[in-house]
Amino acid sequence: MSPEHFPPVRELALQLRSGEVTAPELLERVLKGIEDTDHDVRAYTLVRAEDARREAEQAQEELQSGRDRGSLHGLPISVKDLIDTQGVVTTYGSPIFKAHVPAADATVVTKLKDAGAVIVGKTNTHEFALGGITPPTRNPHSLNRIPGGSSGGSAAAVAAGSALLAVGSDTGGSIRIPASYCGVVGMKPSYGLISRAGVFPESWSLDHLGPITRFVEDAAVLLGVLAGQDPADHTTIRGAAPDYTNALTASVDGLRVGIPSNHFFDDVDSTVETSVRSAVDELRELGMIVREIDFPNVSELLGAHTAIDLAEIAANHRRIYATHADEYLVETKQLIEAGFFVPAHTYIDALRARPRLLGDLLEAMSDVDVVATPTQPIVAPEVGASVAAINAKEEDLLFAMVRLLAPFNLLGLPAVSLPCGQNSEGLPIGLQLVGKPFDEPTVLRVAHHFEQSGSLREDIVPVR
Amino acid sequence: MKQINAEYVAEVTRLIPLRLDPDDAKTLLEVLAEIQPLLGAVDELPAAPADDPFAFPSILREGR
Repeated sequence: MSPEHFPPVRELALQLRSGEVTAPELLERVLKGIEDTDHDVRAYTLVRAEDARREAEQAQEELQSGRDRGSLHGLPISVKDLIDTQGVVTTYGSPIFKAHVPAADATVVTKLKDAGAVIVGKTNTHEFALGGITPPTRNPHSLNRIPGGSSGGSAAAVAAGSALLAVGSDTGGSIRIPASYCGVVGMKPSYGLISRAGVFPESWSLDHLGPITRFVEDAAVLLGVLAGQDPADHTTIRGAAPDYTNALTASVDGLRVGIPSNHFFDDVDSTVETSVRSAVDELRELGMIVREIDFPNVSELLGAHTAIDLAEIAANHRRIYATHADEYLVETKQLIEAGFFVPAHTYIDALRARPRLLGDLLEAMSDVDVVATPTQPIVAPEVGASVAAINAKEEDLLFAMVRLLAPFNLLGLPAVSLPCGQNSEGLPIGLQLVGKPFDEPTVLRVAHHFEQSGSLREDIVPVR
Repeated sequence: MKQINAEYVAEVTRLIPLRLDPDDAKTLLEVLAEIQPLLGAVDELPAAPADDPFAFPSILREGR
């Protein structure tokens, strides 16, 4: 399987405006990617080919008549099936909602449409985003491996060349986990940067939406469209977001990168550790200053995330569970039930602790601009695995997936995962870069320079 | 924090209509045993009476 090699979307945008390519042609290339790969990868729950063709024609006519909607005009995009799309079946990955047709678009879908993007289809999510497997989607790099999750369909589609751009959600790592396993870029922005209105919630306090793309600059373009204030989500920032592509090429000379001396390299597969430490060496060679930091309150961060996540899952699913308990996946049902056992005082204490925990981490980050860690302690696990085997030790797979990522959901910090290498089987390895609140420009700049340096990263293509 | 064991699960199940067969209850206890140390870490966190559980989004925005 050799994926479609789309160039960065800014290049495609220029080609669209020069007449070198048309919006319908771009859409057909994505649909061909779906036709060629999705019988194996199964990234999509629904492809709206005919409606998308009409919309691509319309986008092309608009461009030709001088109506230019901006950076995504005429570009195909795929949306996680947790996100409401008006008039289009949206299942949230569950048979309970198999016939659910939302009456309205989620705010992010409205923004995409207003920006001229063409919605190609809905990509698989783990049921209600409550897991990291995303059945039945497979990893394009090896079809007997999982893509990760919960935004596994979005990441697998981008990796397989059956999506140009995709949108995912991330409550404990659900964008970054599949980005790492599938060898693509996944960004969880700061809490409040992107509206969650119209997205089935996992945890109101921890949910984030973000881009999943092939290139860092594509993530910057998409982030600029998705970000900004939304009256329907009171947590969103006031005002509009900046153009995140502006800062990408500014110098990184002298930027300071923190490497945690604890937790983030403990119990990490040795191949992953070697790859990530080589990536850090590359950042140093690019002119950045690398220094160790002590990462504070790891147990408390993971505990508070667990308490808030489980309690809010239970609250959100309580009514659905009452009538549909037997229709959930077994693991989904267990998470909901576990949430019923989180004491109210533990939940409230976890919420109360967030500002204090944020203050402690920002103090630890006071002498650095970004923190670099592995995204995942392992490469993509085999289908059916329930434990992660790491350097001869076994660990619950879901906990292994979230423990390097969830702290940044709890603290709302921007975090991107991008490919930094692969193991001997060609399975991708991800580097996580984390920034200070709303400092997406610096996170993306470091990621972009690393990606462009390319000296450590083979061009990762699916190998099966 | 209250010790989560079979009796506690039975007690909660009387209050919340959990749909558990005996196998489910056993697995749930295993899940709860795994998360209990994590939740225990929260109970050790210091908190001042004025700490507002709903202040985080605005505090994060102020930190921009």
